[in-house]
Amino acid sequence: MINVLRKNFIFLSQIVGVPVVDLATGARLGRVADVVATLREMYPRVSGLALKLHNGKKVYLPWRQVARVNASKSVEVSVIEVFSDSLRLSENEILLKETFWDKQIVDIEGSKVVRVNDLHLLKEDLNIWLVHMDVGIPGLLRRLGCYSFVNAIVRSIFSADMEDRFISWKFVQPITPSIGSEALALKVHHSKLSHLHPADLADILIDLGTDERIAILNSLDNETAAQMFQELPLKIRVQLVYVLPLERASGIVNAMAMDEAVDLLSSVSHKKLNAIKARLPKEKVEQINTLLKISERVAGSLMNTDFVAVPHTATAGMVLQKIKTEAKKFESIYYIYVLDDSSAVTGVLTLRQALVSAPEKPVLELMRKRVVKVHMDTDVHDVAEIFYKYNFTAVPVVDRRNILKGIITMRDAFETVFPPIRNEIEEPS
Amino acid sequence: MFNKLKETPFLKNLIIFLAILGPGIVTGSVDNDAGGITTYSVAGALYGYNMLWTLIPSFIALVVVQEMNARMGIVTGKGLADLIRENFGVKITFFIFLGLVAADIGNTATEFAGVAGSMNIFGASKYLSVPLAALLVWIIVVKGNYKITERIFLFFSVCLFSYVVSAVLAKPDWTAIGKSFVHPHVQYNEAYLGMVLGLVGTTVAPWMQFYMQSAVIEKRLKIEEYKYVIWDVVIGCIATVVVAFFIIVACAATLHVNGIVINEAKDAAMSLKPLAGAFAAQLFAFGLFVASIFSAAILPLATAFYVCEAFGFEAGVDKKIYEAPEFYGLFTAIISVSVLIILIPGAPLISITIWSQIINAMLLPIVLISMIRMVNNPKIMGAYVNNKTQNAVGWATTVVLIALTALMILSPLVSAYLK
Repeated sequence: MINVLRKNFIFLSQIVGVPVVDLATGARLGRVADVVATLREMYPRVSGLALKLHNGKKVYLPWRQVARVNASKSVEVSVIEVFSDSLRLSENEILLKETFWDKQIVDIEGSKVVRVNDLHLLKEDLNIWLVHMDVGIPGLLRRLGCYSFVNAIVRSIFSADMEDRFISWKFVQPITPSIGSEALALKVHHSKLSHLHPADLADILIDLGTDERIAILNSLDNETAAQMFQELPLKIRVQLVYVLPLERASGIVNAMAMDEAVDLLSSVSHKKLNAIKARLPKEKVEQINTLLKISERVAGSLMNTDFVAVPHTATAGMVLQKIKTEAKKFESIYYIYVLDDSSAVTGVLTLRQALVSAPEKPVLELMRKRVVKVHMDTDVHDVAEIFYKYNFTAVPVVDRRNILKGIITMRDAFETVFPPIRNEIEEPS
Repeated sequence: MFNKLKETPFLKNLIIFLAILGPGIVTGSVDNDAGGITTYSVAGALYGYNMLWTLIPSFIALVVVQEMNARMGIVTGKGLADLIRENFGVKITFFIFLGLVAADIGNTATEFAGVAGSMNIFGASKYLSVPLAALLVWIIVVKGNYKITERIFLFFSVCLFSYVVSAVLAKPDWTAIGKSFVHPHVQYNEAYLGMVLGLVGTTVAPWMQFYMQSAVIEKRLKIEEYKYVIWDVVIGCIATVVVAFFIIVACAATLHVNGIVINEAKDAAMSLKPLAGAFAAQLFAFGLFVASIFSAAILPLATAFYVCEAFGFEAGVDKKIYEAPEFYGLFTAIISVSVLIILIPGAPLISITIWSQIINAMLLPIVLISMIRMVNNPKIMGAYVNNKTQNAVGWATTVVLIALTALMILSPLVSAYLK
């Protein structure tokens, strides 16, 4: 008979647990305990079996020894090599059942956390790839071994099969904290989480357990993690600072906007605060210390110390150049503040003005001289009123000598005046 | 000035503690539901003060089990249902939950029976009081805001102390009470033993563990705050046994002394009237009403919660109905079915109660063993696995509870065989 290339789908539940039979003798060697897959390709490809022998020992069986897969019945193997004693996986291999069955994954497309019931595998002759996660009720029933029974009832009533719910591997981010001793995040190099908006990422994090939260954070760089931190409820931010390694926690705090960092640090114990401060750059620590001393009711407590400021000798082109090179660290780049020789604020121009002007035009000709500003000790309610009155997106904060200390964004001002709004968004209840 | 006060260690601790307070106390109060009050009343009426000693082992079992839940909740940040599914697979989870749902429908029906019984004392028909109570519960949970709901629940917990007044009005014999703890007259017959099992069994129920762990997670605590959680658990357990104590005392001082036998908590309230006055009877009925409606809200809610959690459906009262249809569907279905059971004339309420107790008793060992195995797994608990003492106490509690429940299930069979 000619070996026809057959393409079809099978489920992991149809392989796990079936007997493993020697092709030549027909002798039963044991059962399939798990399926090994390699992560080297676009889709994980099955590369071996974890075989549970009759004596209870688990051994590794390379996929090339598998001769035939009879779904739900048996796996036939031609044993050429002696089984290795123990189950040892190579660097890019994972156990499919242990990693995914009953575990949570992030559905990138739907940006939510779902629980995996079964795995949907594409079988092309003897090559098998993991293509979908089965997260639907049929998958659950299949695992319980009563799918055909329930489906028969459903079909007789609705004259249609039950609907499967699959998520393509392309949109799956595994979050199992560790497999054996190695972190899975290290094995799956390409973090798909970076496609998500930090706010969605934060929603996902809220739904997870502690270890999964750490696993996700470990796959993000400090900047992304810091952005996501802003969207998390304060209690979870504090929880995370306590469970993350100190180096990592300080790294994230360092990447946070100054007002957010202070907000967080004022909620941790003195011991933790000092430990984190010891790992931050010196000038940052000084700023944090100053801000921590300011009462919560005044403008100084809201301000962010990263802002765009240029000397009065600058030109529009220099302004744009500065924004281009340093944009990453600024929370708001829309207003550019112009400072005189003594660092006092003499004017302000908008990004729009800088963009539409000729590059050689001096900022002195563009800027507006009358700058609406608040003082360090202005009450936060008055700050909010200024936003209401002038429709600004950010307002500068100055000290008594008119030296620019920081800016307050509209978001920060609103959160303080309407704390219930922030609470409702953070902790929906 | 307030900031200065916050600096003194005692006040600082107190403030943190008050913020954390809740999960243990609410769980402890739900524990004294209609079924519990019935058991305590019957025990007090039948055996007088002679049953009071069982509250001590009940208390220990409660603290041990709930402490493990609280610890697992804080360390893993995951619900018990999640953990069981991830560690023991889908099949065992499915069967636990099949049992839990069945038992909880039965229990919820018992709660609505408590509503019907207590409102009966105040002269309201069950065809009016039960649907209204169900509607009230549904609205509080579905339309309410979590903070308000928790406050209502804490208020309910305080109301349960009306039993203290009921008991004092019954003028109990305090010396006899004291003696019953020091020298309990344990009888070795089937009826007495059955009562002991009933009392211990009604305090530790499987659904509580799921509820407790979820409630702790909702508080978003860090491990440094664990010591406060322990206090919350201990205070909740004390509240449970104190309320149980006064119910038993109230019934012992009146019904037992006069040789009145009762079958239901409602009977206890009615019999109190000529013996301790109408006020004592009304307080008793009020306590029963509060306890019933309290548990009628929490039980279906907790059930819907952990079922959805384990099977990966969206869940939570913060979600809209169309966002979490399975969750709200399950919650509404449990309430509706329980109400129907009560309203159908001649429904076999007593056998429903007994069967839900039996299912609970069968599930308890499975849940407890799963819990102990997980709380000892360093992969799950890291450095916070049980130490030797915790394990000794934990296993002892588990084994005793399993033995008790096995006895409770098997004793009718054995006695039937012996006859």
